[in-house]
Amino acid sequence: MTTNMSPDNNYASSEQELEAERLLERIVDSEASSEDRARFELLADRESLLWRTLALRQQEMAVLAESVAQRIEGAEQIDLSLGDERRRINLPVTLSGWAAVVILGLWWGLLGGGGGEHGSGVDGLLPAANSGAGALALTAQEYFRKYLEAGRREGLVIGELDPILLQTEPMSDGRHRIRFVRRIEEYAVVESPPAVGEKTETPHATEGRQEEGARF
Amino acid sequence: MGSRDSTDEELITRAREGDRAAQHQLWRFHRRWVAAIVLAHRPRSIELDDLLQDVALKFIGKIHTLRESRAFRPWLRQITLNVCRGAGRSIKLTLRLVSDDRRDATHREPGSVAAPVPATGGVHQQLERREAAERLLQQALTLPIAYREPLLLRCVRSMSYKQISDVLGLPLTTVETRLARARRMLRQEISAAADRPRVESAGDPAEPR
Repeated sequence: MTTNMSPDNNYASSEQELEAERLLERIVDSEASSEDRARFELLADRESLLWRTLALRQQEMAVLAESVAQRIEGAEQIDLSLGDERRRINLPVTLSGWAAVVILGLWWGLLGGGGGEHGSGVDGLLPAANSGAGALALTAQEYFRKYLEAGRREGLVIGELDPILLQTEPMSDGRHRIRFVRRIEEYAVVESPPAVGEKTETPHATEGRQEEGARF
Repeated sequence: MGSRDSTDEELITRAREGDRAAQHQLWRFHRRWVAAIVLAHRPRSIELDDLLQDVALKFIGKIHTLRESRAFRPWLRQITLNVCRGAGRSIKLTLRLVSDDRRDATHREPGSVAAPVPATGGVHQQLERREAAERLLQQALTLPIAYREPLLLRCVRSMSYKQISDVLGLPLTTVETRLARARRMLRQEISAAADRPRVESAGDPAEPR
């Protein structure tokens, strides 16, 4: 788009157009200096269309800005709602997948779900099976607490570390469903060590913590 | 350096040291332009708010890794880009609580054209303006990323050339040039769209000839 410039200007038409363009952009963006504005007024005195161009560009930008503002207005609702509950724990190494598989297998086993997923070569890890008649009457959280209690009694479970929040989803009733990773610090006797790095300063979970679940 | 930059510097320092209140405040100061970056980079099928939430999580989880306070804006931008790119590769973030496919055959999100509503007078004009505004935004979102990003940042109120330059790591003159070119490209698109057979709105910001 070019503005119409009368042919009898002192400056080359293309140079004047370029200058006008630059000044227009700065004024639209509120970045023009007083010299810029004075220069623009001078150019506009010779070419009145510049005022209309300026008005149209400002309108265009205002429309776009309003559209963007509406699209990102949700940003005002995105706050750091994790607060102090999400503390970061510096582990020099992340437990490899085998531990998570074992835990998941225990979970499933305690719930009466699929078996055989506890990872091979792990010995002495499973707590005394509690798959009696009343087992399924407990909730998952109750099972989990019992697992921690049993593990501590047996000297296997040290405690639970702060969980890691992965995702939050608002629900229609105003609550939120969260997806998170539980982390349990514990000992295990294995036939061959997993491929993890050597731990140097591993923070220990505070013993005696028996929260209902993830603390958020 | 303006008073806002001084406040930022102080907040960033405290945030890096683990001050939760400072982290919250810092996020509130910067989340709008972060949202503009997400808007510029996000995969179409993923909600902006979802990605923004992820950026917030990463921000609070990694703020302690920020080496220099003055690198905060480009650092936060990089986190945002990483989240958007990761979302494009991962299916996890597409598990949003919607049942419908939000993309139609033309890859435009539903709602880009307002649903027809029997209206008269001012309401009708409002709808037309809103449609025109949405079309403008949709066209802006099709610009090359080098121009789209500074343009959307500029749309965030109080984002100066200097601040955009800080975020993008570009010289001021480059920011100014890219903004000018972005708007020129947008006007060309609008003109081309206006030439196509469609119902014209009185509110369309048509380019003078």
